[in-house]
Amino acid sequence: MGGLEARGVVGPHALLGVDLRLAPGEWVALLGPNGSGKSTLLRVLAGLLRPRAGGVYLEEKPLAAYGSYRRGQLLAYLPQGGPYPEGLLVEEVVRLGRLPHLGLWGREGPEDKEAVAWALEVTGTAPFRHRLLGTLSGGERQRVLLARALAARPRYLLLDEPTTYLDLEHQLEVVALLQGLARLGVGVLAVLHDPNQAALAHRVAVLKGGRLLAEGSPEAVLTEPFLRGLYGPRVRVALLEGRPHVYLDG
Amino acid sequence: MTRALPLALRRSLVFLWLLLLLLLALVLGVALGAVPVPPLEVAQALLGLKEDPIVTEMRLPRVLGGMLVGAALGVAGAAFQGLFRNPLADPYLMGSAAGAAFGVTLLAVLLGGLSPAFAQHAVFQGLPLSATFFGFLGALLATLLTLVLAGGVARTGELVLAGVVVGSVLTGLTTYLMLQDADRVRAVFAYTLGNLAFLGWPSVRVLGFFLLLALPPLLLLGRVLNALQLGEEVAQSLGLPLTALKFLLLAAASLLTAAAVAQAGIIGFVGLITPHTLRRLLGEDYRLLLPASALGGAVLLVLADLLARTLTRPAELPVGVVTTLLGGPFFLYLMWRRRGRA
Repeated sequence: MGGLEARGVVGPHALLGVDLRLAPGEWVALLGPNGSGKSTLLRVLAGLLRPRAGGVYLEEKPLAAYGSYRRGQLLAYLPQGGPYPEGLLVEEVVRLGRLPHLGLWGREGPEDKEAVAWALEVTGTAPFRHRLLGTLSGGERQRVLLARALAARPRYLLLDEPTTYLDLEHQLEVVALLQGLARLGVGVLAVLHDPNQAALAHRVAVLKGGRLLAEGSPEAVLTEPFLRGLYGPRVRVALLEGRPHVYLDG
Repeated sequence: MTRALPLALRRSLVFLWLLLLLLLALVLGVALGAVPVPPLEVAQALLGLKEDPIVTEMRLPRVLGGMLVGAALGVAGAAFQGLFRNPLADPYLMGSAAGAAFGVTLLAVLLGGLSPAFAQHAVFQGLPLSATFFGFLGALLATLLTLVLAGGVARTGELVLAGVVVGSVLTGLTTYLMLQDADRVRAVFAYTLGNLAFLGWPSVRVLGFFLLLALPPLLLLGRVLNALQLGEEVAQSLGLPLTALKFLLLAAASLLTAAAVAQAGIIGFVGLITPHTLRRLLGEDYRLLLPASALGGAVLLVLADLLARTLTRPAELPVGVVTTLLGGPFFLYLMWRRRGRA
């Protein structure tokens, strides 16, 4: 199993040659300042944008060689923000996540129902399943959209700032969920803006100006000198229970 | 309070209501007019127990044809709104209806002057199938032009503005073409304003044919419209062949618009009012919204036509005038509500 891999990806937009590999069962946090190309890299890995040079490989085969439904079964993508179908039932939103398995005309079987029930359960959204998405809070809505991505039972999950609209409690819940998914063998790549959440990942990759600036364990990457170079001189890092904890001085 | 009802029950009730209203619209549409027909005789004539030429030759084709036109416009509006994720998209405001009217008129002119049948309020009945195909091309091109001018679908205001510009220019061109046949100016204006008075059994057959062609694919693609509400990137990541599906949706909605326009002229706002009202009752699941918009559009247009026939009795108003008088305030209400939210 070769994982999901970007090899020498150049363009579109900001990317200037990026190599990044996501293994099954691994959870990787992607950090970087605004405009560094994080979202673009995620879209390239999801097969939504084609790189000008280099390529994306899914389990050692070029991503472009997969049929679109097969790709959707293996990779799930959750964009940042984006339109919300306020007038759709939560359950229908999550069931849309089964489309890669069903195609346009397929009928739902027991496997599909089970996957939907599982996705609702692990995201804690089962209690809202019969409500309209527009009646939920921002945090609840984000968890429903995450459940939609999980319903395909993907091997790799690509998430763009999945914790942005959540309150602290739900942020931590989502991070815990990502850890749990990785334990189940799902490869998780999440764009995050909070280095303290990234510190909980197996591996941290930092993108700046379209290049991979650093990559490694949180302890190795999230050091004070490095983060000062990235975010400014007021950044401080303390180690809490062996994990880097980032805060601002003054 | 309907709000307190479980959604599933509310949805069933909405469909039940729509069917009852459709039946009511059928009976009222046949009974009322310059010469009222008593309800009992309407029922007897509808069931074939009694011959009544007013019912079978005049009122019934007009009411059935009106239902088909209304259904076509309601579904086309719902499809445009879902496809473009834009609440103000509808065949009238997108310029699509004006494009269809231009296509139909152009065909009539190419065939050497307007059809003689035109003078007898039977527009283009000599060329119904080809008229709809020309209208289809006109509707498709007008919609694409509107999209290009608006720079995409995201900005609601720009889309409506571009649609109104495209619609106005095409209506101007249509009027110019029609006025080449100056003897029939009255009928020309009656047609461009939207009118069900032209509908006879041949129109009903032609409308039925095109609805059978365009409605099933749209109704089957409700799930795709649902997926599109998650954004195009997500729909694409789910593996859907989006380019082909979007074109299919656009083509089916344009064909429905063209079928309606070729038989009844430009009838505005049915495609806006119907899906909007139903969306508030049903939610935005297009598997329900599309069939409900077909029923709702049929009811709305037949009732509007009833007003058009009775408000100024014994004279008739074009039904397009009535729907525009209803739709204008509705449009303002939508704009006001959006501003309130922003």
